[in-house]
Amino acid sequence: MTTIERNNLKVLIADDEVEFASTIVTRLNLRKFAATMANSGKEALAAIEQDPPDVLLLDLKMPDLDGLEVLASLKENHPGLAVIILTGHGSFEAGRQGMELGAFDYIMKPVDLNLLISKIEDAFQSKGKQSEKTDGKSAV
Amino acid sequence: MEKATTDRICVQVFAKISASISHEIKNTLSIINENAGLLDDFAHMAEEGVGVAVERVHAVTKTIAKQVDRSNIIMKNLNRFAHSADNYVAHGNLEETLALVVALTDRQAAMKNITTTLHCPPDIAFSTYLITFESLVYLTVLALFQASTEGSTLAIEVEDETPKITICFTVQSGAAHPFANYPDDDQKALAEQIAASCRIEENQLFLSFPCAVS
Repeated sequence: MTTIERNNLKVLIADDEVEFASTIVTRLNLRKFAATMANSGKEALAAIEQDPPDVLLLDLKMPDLDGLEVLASLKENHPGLAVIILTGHGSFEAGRQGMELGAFDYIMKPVDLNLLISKIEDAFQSKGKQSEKTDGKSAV
Repeated sequence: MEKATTDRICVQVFAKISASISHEIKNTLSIINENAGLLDDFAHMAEEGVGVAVERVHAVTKTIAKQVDRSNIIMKNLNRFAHSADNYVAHGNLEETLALVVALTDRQAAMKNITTTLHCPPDIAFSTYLITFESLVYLTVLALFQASTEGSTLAIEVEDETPKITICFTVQSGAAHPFANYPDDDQKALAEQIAASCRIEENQLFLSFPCAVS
């Protein structure tokens, strides 16, 4: 809960289950992330336009735009954004489908928070943003 | 239509409903899981001398209780639907049966922000191939959702015209031809088994069937 490198690592959770998303936000923020939420596909895209996160946690089943449609849009407009698919499906198929569309990884619900955090950190590092953030901090 | 065909369609409907319900249960379990984890976080914070407001703990336990209630309702609906196959021909209360089918389509409605309303006199009893009837109404409602635009309303109204009953589905949406593909082969097969007929007028679909199948 005290990992200093997590400071200001921005995580956006896009999930239409408000109580799930808000609890994940609270728990990540207790662990020094800067987490926020969006409760539909369109809301997620609007939030990304306004303030792009470092990592997006994306539910596949959402009203208006579903997760795969959001991914397709991100591929075009924000190709560098690290995305982790959240899926309530019983099989890995939906997660695999998301990875084919450019997602970094997927995690099945119910979520193991420690596993989720490790995936968030891996996703962030894989996009090469870790060094940018460190540089930013040392400049301050 | 062969009974084997309608049985296959009913099994497919049951599978579809089971998939949707298990997805919903995964969602409620996820919320319970996260809130149990949050309580654990609060306990660790208390151990470290960081005060946690009692109201925050109450809010979390309230959320858990709410999700347990939600899960219970979801499972009760699945259980009721599963028992529809207990008897080949069953007697039932139409309002309760339609309310069950509407509840089973709640998630799909939410996905398209569709509002479903049901108006049915409370005292209509009927006797039919229950799982076939429920499957037909379920597939009808899903087909209408699919043809409807986001934010539409689907009104379901029942008229008792003993010896038959008519269910009127009214779609209020921007879709030009909401019933263009209705009925498909599966819907036709199910309708045939319960001796139902359908009539379409603009944005309304009338499904009529005998109060008691012979």
